[in-house]
Amino acid sequence: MNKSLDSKRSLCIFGGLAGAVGVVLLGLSFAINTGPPPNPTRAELVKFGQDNYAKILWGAWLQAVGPVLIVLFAFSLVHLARATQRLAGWMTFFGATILMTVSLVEIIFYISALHTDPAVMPYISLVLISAVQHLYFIVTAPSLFFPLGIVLLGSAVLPRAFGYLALVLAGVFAVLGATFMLRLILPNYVTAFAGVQALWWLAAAISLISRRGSSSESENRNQPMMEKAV
Amino acid sequence: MKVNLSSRQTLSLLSGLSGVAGVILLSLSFAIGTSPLSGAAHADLVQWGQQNYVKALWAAWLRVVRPVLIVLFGLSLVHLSGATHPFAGWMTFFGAMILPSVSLIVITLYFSGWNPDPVIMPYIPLKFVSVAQILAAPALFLPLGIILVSTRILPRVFGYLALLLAAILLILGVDFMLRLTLPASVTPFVVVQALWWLTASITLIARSGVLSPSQA
Repeated sequence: MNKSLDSKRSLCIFGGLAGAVGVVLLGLSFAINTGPPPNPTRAELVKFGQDNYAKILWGAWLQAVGPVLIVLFAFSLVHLARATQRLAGWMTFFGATILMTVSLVEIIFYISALHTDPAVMPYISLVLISAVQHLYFIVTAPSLFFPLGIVLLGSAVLPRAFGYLALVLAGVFAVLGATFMLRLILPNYVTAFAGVQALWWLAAAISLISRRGSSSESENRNQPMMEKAV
Repeated sequence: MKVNLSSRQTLSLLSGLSGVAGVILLSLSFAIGTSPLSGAAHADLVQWGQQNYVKALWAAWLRVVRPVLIVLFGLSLVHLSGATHPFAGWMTFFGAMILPSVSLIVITLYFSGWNPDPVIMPYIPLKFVSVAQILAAPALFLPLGIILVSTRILPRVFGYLALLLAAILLILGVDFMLRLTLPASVTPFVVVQALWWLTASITLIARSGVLSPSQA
């Protein structure tokens, strides 16, 4: 029992730390890889790539590793909520895989954008990056936040507000995805909204770390509710 | 016990509806999304793009959302049959990952094709779209078929049909491996698998009232 408690506390701490570090890495990736100026000419695009070569590649690395840590945090939440064998838990795994897939596809195009032969390569990559960004709103964020919200509402791992906020985020992202469907390049204020989800991950990670001592007790109190939930 | 049973019924009903909605979205995407003529010149392709911009992008949206609903239905079948632990359950989960991953990559290229600049851009997605379904489907149908044959969540015939579909799609994938563009004769199999999802969803909804834990 004690051992289980210890391991649960460890999972809260390590899962929470993974989430917090993941958000920091993602924040860094956006900070150092700011993207080219709007509507660049081919010469400007090539020059931007040459001037920011290292920043773009390190930004790509951070964007690849950051989501892995965030997914680790999400899986920790599912595990702590004892939802690994529930449909909502499986759909969270599914959403996490979609997040990784979309993120990795985007990173491929970051790297391909630095190839200057054929000359059209940076341009094509930029167009593909704009295309990928739609997917975060249409399917990636909703397919992760919706089941995770259900998991959190069915357990006491985090305060219920996080569950409701996750459902709201899923809804808002899905609506934005549909609303801006007919614009080939998402406006900056829409892509900036993606930062809101980072805030959710960070607050949830800090909350999990701070609740590490009380999680076991509150979980036991909510056990019947968890079994009932899908 | 009563709560558990009603939860299974609700899950059967909702996931069945999810499967039906997924097939409807697929049908809608085919109904409103048309393709340009093969070998069209760049000017024709751009003109076609301008004329079909709204329809084609909504069709793309439908094709992005559709796999999520189908996967929700597929994983519900695994969950309801109690096969979340066995190997076939995990392989269904794996297949459920492959299906939307392939779809997302194709849709990314599809979106990018609406940019007329650089000139080569509209041509790129045309080369990718046709191969997606054949690549992804067997990975999902094979393990799901094994689960459905060994449980009673749906009539066993659905399990055998899923295995048959997986085999046919796998053979077609190998058979047409050396052809860069799949022939039109292969695409009706997309309709066949959609029919499978539709009938399986409707059957699950119809059986939601009589499901009991012993049927897992």
